[in-house]
Amino acid sequence: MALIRFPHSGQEERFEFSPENRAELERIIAKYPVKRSALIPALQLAQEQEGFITSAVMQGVAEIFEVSPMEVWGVVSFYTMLKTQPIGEYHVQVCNNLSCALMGAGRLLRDIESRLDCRVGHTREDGKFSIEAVECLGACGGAPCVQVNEHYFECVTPEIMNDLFSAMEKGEAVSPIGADEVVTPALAGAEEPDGEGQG
Amino acid sequence: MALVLEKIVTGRFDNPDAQHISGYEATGGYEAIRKLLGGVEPADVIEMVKASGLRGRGGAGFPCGLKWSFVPQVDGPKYLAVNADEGEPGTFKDRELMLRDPHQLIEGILITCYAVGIEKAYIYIRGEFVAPWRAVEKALAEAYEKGYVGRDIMGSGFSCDIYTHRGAGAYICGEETGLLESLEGKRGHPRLKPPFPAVIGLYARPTVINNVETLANLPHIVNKGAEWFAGIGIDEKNSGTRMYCVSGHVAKPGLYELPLGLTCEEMIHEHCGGMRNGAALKAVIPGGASAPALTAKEVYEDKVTMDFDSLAKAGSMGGSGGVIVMDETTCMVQAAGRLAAFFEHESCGQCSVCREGTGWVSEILARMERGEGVPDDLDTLASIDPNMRGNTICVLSDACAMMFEAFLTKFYDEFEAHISLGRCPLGSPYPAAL
Repeated sequence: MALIRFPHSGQEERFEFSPENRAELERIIAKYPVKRSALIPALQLAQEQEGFITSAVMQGVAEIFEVSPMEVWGVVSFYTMLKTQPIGEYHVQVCNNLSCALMGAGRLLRDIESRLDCRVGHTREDGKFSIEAVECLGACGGAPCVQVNEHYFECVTPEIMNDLFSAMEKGEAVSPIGADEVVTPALAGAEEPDGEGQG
Repeated sequence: MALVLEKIVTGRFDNPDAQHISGYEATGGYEAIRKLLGGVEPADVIEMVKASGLRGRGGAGFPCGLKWSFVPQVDGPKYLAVNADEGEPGTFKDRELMLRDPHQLIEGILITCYAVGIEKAYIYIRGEFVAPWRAVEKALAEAYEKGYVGRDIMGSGFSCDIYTHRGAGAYICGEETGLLESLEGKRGHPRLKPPFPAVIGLYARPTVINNVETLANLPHIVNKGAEWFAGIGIDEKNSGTRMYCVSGHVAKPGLYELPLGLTCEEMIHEHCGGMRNGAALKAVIPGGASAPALTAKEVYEDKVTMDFDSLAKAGSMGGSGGVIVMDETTCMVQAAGRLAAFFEHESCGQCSVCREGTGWVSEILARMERGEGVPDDLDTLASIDPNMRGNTICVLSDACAMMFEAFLTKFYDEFEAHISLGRCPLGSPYPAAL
């Protein structure tokens, strides 16, 4: 449990879902007999749209679900994937749980920090990369495992990561390494055209 | 008794076509639900699953058919929540089941819903699993289109809708009532039990919660019979196979579907290529981070087998099937500290015993590893242990206590050495705990 403060800002503009996301949210709400079940999916959509969850997002979402902004904040602060600070264009999550630690995740993290010139828990000034040490990603047979945005990269070495980061710096598309590779090309093609989505 | 080496749930893993509905159908897919809808009574399905001896593959190992039979036959909606919030450290099987054979999961869901009388199922997939979620969504779209899911399935009058729901990053949502709270759009705080979810679950309605691997076994049980399933494995209470997720210091880490009842030694040396670099084994966590570690003596001399009851008898548990193997170079204080830090991070904070207990254990182990431990620390750890058991809403606190108690008692000398030497005797160069 980490204490996170409510990201309050008085000057923010109102948050509105884009028309497409608003329609997507209505489709999600229809899945459940109780509207509240769509609260977390709504926050995920808002994060995709805005990059992170601002206080304006929480107020806007609170209005849609007819709950208080504090109720929404209670939910946001519970889940690690809901971000209240901006993250990099490429969010690099390095698993540091036991299986990955046994296979050198500690050293890997330090290598990644120096390669990207960015400290763990921080976003680089140019906004290109952020690094986070995370708990088990559920790919322990492919330890050490790193997740960048939505892609998993298994059994990685500093050399492999270096090549991947070079591609990302050039804005080139990168493909996952490991079990995620089995999904058919059509499935991979369902991603955004630039190959990487936010968060 | 010789164990049958048969692949059940991973049978289609080498066949990339099985991700598509045509490939799944071509290999006997959706035959099981067709058979049931052709005139098998739901009550008989429950009896069949009971007779197969299938136990939950998510963690607790509760008999699946028995769990279903607790659902009261009342009017109004009932729900199935599929636990695909795979987060137990060392476990990575549900991810592969969703990626490689998503229709098998969908058919398992249909069988469950038919047996229990459920018309709505939610698959709660952990948020990080984007590719598996896409694979399941795509498979669902195919199954809807072909009429296997939805209204009046195959003209039988049975209707069932299946939806995915993505998590947002919280280990505790793998606890079944934490999962329900999260699915209701709240913080994932586990609920006090009783009432159990079978009676009062999602939206306060009767709810079944099953793990992905458990459900994936069902089409095969329906197709080949309870007796066939019960014949695989070591006895009727430990039947079938498990997807063992082997990680750490073995030559070939990965996913191994093996019958219940194999010894841990056979698993490591005959299936996983032995220890990496031929190093000596020091400890094995047999069922995910919550399962107490086994020593090399328990593996090689006591020949502990990897089924539910044998592991329970050895003071550990089958848990989620996550097998973490550690060789002689691993510092046990560091390993325990790493897991304690995990439990601290994932404690939901509802119960003070867990919130404070996991934090203190983590802090004490971390300072011991840094060489700043004091002699009292060992007694402090021993005194924290009983307080963390049986005093909380869910078992996360108990899991943390069981974990560090096993490390502490089985490797006491190593903990003592950290304090007397004022440093880690193994000189671990990279602190795992960050």
